Amino acid sequence: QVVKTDVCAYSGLRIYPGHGIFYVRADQKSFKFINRKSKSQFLQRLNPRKIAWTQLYRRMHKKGTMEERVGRRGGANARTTNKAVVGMTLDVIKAKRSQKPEVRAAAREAALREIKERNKAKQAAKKAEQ
Amino acid sequence: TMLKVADNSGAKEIKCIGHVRKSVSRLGDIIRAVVKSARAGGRVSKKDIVAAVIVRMKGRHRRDDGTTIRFHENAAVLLKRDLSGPIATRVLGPVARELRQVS
Repeated sequence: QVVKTDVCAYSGLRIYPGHGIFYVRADQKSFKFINRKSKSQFLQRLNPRKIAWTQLYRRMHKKGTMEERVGRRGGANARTTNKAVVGMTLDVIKAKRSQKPEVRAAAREAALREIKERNKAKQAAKKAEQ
Repeated sequence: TMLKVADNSGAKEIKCIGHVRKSVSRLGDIIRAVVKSARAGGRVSKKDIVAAVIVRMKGRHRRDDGTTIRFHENAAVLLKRDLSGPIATRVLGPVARELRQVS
């Protein structure tokens, strides 16, 4: 179950249900504050960027666990998955993956040799024509 | 208490002189008030005694979900004498959600 939370307009902290003060200004802008300390500082027009304990300040000055969170997010994005590509089904890819490297190398060499021989034969045929 | 008038009835400020069936009025409650200052040529004039419903309140108002709502001023909307509806045609500024049940 996810608890719906709001973000404090001043401190940037999470506001859980049942907490906070909703302040409505004359120009119809509304602000949610987590406590009266936040509201008081907001009404005193103190800039949250200059107050050390607000999230805005901490984000600006790279304090605390922000980097950790970024790292984790990047990791989640960089996860790779196996999918079937045009001529290859997932089973084929899996089979190739599980083969031993030597077997694959040998197969590749054999294929290369075959191509080379084919090319040689072609060139020989051309020379014979001339 | 002096309240601003948040509609185009012509009154600018009213003074609360009584509550309806309550000792204290909060958001959405109806009060009796006297018009203290009014625009010339409006629908009400100075010294008129009117009914009004409170739409904004400086004091804290607690909602059912536990949050508190607070406005920056006290304001009201004038009502007809039989409380059937507003005198004015427009309501100005933000209005508390509590008003829905009233109207």
